[in-house]
Amino acid sequence: MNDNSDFDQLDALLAQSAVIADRGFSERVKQRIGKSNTIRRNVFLITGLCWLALVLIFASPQAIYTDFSTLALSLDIGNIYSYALSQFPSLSDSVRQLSYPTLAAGLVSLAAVTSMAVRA
Amino acid sequence: MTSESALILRAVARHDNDAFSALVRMHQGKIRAFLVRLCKSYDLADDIAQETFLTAFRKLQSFKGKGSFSGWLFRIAHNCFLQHIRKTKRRIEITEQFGTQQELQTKQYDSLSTEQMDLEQALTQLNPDETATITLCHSYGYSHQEVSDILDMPLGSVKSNISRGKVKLKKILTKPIELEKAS
Repeated sequence: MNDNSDFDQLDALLAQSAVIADRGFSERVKQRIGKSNTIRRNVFLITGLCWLALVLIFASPQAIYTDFSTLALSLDIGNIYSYALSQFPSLSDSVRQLSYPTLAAGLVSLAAVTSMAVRA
Repeated sequence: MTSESALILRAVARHDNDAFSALVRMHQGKIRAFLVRLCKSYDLADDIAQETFLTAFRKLQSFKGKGSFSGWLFRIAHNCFLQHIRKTKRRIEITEQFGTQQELQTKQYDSLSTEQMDLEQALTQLNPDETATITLCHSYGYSHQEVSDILDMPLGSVKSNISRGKVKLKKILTKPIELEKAS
């Protein structure tokens, strides 16, 4: 058998392209796409809410401060805040300077930026 | 308009999951077979194939219809494969596997003759570039230029990878026949 006919045989063999059976693969991909769509929708919703909260905070800081103070008083958040700070003594001095609205705005900004990063 | 074009339009315009699933069913066999040849492992190939279709779904808007949809999918599949190698530094492991013939679980294929099984085994001994160019050009019928575009590889490299790979394949596949003749 000469070289050319060997290559012809090889070409013919290669041309019979191998195809892998589905065996539920398409369904798995469909489920993953569905799941990723749900996650993206939720992340988008959270981002929107966080931005809305930020707009509210910066649009009317005084009103938000009053709201937070009322909320803190009613839920006794002050104790939780102090407890959380006591767990991180090194941070407590610097964080103690922050007011509730500043801290809340910081947390909301962080959440917004994080969820935008996840979306991207 | 072909059914494939209609499905692509539906998937792009309405972000229709069902239309995209139909496209997955159409193309998964070839994409997975291509990735099995590159990865030399079914499980890894399946993971990368899933990643390929998820990426394709996310980037569907960027498919402008230049070239075939399957060519676009092969391009994403190849990029996902390269990304995986970069991430896990598996290139060294795969390179080490060139010399050692791996037993492929050929039962995963739709139907495979003895010669095709031998071919699949022989392909495990080529490097990824040779495997990718030969598979796209000879098994799936893309032109050298199309393979060059899909793999983002110079045309000359495509041609040299194909001819080098075919010489290797011919050697590997004729070895058992020579041994039979000798005995």
